Amino acid sequence: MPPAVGPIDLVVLQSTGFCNIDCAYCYLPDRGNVRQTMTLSTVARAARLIFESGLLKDRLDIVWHAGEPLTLPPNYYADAIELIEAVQPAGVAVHYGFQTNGTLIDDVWIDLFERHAISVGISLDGPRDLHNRNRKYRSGEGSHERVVAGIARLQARRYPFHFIGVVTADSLPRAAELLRYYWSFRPTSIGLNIDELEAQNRHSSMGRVDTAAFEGFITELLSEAARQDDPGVAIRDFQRTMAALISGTPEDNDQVVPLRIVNIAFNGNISTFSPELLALDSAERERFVFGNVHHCAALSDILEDPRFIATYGEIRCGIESCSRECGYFQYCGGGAPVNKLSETGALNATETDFCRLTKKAWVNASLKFADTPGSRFELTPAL
Amino acid sequence: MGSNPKVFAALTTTGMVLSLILPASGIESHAAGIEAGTSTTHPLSHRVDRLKAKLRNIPPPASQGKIENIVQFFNFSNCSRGTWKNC
Repeated sequence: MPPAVGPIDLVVLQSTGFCNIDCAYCYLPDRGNVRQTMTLSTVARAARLIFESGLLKDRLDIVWHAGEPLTLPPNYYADAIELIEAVQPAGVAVHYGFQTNGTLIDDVWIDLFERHAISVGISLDGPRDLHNRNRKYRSGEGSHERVVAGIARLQARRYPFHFIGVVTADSLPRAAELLRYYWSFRPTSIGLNIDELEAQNRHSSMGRVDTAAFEGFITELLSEAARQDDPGVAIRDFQRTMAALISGTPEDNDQVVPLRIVNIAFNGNISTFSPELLALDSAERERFVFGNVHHCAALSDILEDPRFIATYGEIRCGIESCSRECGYFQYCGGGAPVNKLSETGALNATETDFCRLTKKAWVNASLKFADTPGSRFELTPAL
Repeated sequence: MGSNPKVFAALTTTGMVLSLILPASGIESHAAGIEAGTSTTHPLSHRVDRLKAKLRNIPPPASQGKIENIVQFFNFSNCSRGTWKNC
């Protein structure tokens, strides 16, 4: 048994592997395959294993992602939620989320969001030209117009949403413009990922970007955020960095602790650690399938699987190296296994471009920002 | 823009909003201050300690008294939903 297991913070359910668009940097395999749909019996079985695991806190996040979840009908999710609620124990609040490309949002979807207080994350890379450079339909047409139409529907219903965007090398000179564009929609928060080497995305425009250049991008972004009107722009990555700096607990890295994140593929395969491990090429992916909801008697069965034991050993080895070699370990906890594997070929690696840009640059820029002469912190009651 | 440019940093366990307030003189001088600063020459742990000291000096809300335990006060479990990039 590993020294630390769970508690389960997040369950990622791959309701479908299909996506109606075909982003240039997408990490998913088989995203044109419409037959990869999670059956409701798989949903029910997954829910039972999770709720009977004894690894839950008082809150559980369930996110539908990895493929475009809105390509399935709203009724699918209404039924799935009903099945989950049927076995949900008292004392565990389940919070549902969709990470969606936003192109298919209509009033029927928003009815479902409202009914279950579903958190909605929209993938938007910025203004039309930046977004359409990578986020295209298979016809080659950009998806920006339809994403903005989906956002307009949410706004018309006053339904809250957050953005997650992908920063590419083309975005770097446009940080202030990007921030203003995002904020013009008044999202609840803005999260910025990077174009990263990961699973099926084998070329990244960010690999050649040095840390200082990305720090400059972050500084410009934060400066522009500060220029905006109240109530203040929430930038996910700044908040996460502040949390990591203040708490300084490396064991908060949920991608390296078994069963903090539970990943269920459309066919019921179970994995843990980085969700994208299930997006590797099929031969390599098998290393990270530690069980299947239809064959496991208990979720903890996966901890006895030889593939889990081998994977966890390699991940632990990488974390120990990170703890010895990296001054940022206290605020990171050992990186993301899928990025280590995708960038270096090994789970026991240490520094990656992903951690250089998404951890180190954010720590450096946030500390410099907080250390600006004349700056100060303030506490105010939440609105 | 108001006189106090700020960035939303966190929610606390007690539901307060923590913001970083930048100099009223404007972001331009702030950006220049960053460039001219020597903070990166200090060890990371020293810079983090300085951040924590700055947080401890926040005037506390009247109902809460002095912030004695900064980690406990800023227990981010109510706002930090893990580290995965798609949440």
